[in-house]
Amino acid sequence: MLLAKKRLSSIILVGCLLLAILVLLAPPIHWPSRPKLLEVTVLDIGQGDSIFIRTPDGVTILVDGGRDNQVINRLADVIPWWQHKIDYLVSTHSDLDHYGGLEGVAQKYQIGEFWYNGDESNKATSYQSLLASLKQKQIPLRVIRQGEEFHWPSGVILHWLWPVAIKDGERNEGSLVGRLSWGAQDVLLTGDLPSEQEQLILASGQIVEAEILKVGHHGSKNSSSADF
Amino acid sequence: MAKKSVVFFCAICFLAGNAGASFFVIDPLIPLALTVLLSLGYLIFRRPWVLLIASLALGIFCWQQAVSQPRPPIPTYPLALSGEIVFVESKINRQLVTLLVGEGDLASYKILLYLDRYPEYRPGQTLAVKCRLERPTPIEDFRYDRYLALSQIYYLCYRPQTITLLPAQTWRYWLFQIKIFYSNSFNQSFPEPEATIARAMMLAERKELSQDLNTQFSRAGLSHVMAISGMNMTLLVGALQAVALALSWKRSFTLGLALTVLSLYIVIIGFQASAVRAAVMAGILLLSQVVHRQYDPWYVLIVVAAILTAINPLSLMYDIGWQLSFLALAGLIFWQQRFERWLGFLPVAFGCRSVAAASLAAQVFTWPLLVYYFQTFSTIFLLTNVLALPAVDIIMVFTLVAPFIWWLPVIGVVIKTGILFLLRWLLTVCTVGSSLPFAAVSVVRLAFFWYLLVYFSLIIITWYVTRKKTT
Repeated sequence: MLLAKKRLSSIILVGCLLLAILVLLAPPIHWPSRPKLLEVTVLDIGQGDSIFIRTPDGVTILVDGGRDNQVINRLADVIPWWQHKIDYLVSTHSDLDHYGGLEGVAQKYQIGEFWYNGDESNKATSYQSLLASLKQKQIPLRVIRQGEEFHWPSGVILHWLWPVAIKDGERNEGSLVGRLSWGAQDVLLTGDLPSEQEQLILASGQIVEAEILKVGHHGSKNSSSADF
Repeated sequence: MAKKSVVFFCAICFLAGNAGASFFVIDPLIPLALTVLLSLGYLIFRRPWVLLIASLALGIFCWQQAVSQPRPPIPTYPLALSGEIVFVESKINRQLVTLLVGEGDLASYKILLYLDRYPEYRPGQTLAVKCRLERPTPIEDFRYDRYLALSQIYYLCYRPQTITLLPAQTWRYWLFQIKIFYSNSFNQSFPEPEATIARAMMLAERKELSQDLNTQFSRAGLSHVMAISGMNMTLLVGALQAVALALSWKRSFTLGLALTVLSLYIVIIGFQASAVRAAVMAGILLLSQVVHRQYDPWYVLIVVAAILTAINPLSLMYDIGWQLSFLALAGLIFWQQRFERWLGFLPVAFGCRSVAAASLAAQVFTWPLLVYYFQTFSTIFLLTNVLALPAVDIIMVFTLVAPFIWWLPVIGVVIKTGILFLLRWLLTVCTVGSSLPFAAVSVVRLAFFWYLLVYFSLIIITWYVTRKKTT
């Protein structure tokens, strides 16, 4: 009787250990077998924008971070637990519902480069705190301008369509607008760009055709004009 | 009646008076006068029941005095205030900063500021703000005003107009660096949501958990792991005692270890009042078992609870952490050994059985309160707690020391992976458990009477089981 009890105890202990090991190791074993595709995930972060991009060769880009730290929880759904780096952190412009969660992301993950439109005129303490925090961590800050293009070995291209220049106090007007392309598939990311600037992009002759459009300014009537 | 019993029953009457007084309002002078008269009466007649009524009146007086103190009026115009930050609670979308005003009409009063999530403010920093003050008011049936009064906060400011951080820093700032060190360590070493879970468990930063995860923990009957640091401390002490018993450690060594762990925990948590109260109770209970073994632990528990209530009269009714730690301790006292016998099928190695028994015993009196606060009754809470709580205990012990050593080449990596492994296990138990269709039943908030009835039944059952053993 005592022997049987001891045996049962040992079986339970070993069973629990095996189950726990399986829980920990299953995701990293399964990960390499995933198909290598361009993944664009619009994160559900409540108010604001946040879009996570993973190229087929594993380059990661986060475009905007929503209003608060909800983005960190949502990133956990798309970044596996053994990865601690985001290659490019992008702030399309200096509105709280776009940059609010980026400081938290920069605290949590190693950031390769920070891309923004160069506007530092927003004196909100939270925005100044983000910039100070990035500079303190010595993360390179790159000012993006119209026409810049990034190519990755997998064939993914990110072409920036806007802005040309930035004026102090103009926030939405200076939103970064990018066209992400992979093969025949294109995604247009428009930040909060108003209709007037959409017309300027059209006038510049750049290609805006895309299979997927992230509508400007959260679907506001002042963006996503019919022509565009 | 023996002197010991008189003190015990006086403490119970004091607590009953304090709790009962929350349901009505009278001039505090009335119970005070009654207390004085009855105390004088006791000196003359020497009847213990006179003292019991005096204790009841004293309990009522303490409560009424705490809730009826006059405060300076709120000006209608924005006020420039400056002072020291004494506490910061980070939420997922904002920070709640408690400012201790340094000068003016409101000098030495605390004000709760609602600020953006960034930049992060620290206790010990000096802040100047201009804001329009408001008084806290009840939110539906939640007495937010009294909840804040527990921390001596009587004023709120939702959107300060100007915020200036002044260069002065006090000792709190440097003490808080310990908490930041732990917070950063967890943040950089663990993925999400494990890092947030570790911070919630160890640093009481529970407000950063996502709503989804909160719901999952609630359905799985594991909310207390995240929600309340006081109960975690109690569990930790119970687990340490259980392991010590299983491994035949010396009583004094176990006591020293438990008290060290409790002290460390209070320091890293930033001297949070509810955690201090819970730690004091657990610590004194432990101490009493070693120094005066003739004292019944139940006696010590009640007397210490009465003393802590006298220090902060609102804590009994509004400090959830303390309520849970008190009930968890009661569960450990009465039920731990019985559960250990019933869990005879579990392995004894590394105190597994003892830790599981401690985890379950802590649940006996806490579950009705958890149902009351979270309005969810988890049907699988026994199973999830047996599976998860031993891991919680180990996580709590190891994460106390781990951040200091996980830079070491091999041991560091092993320990870090081990803790991650346990956090993942906790998360898996929670997510799998909560995904079961029958995992939880939503409970409408019943009248207070029903909860009293449940507790009365639990006390009768406990009394019956205890009595059965002694006869």
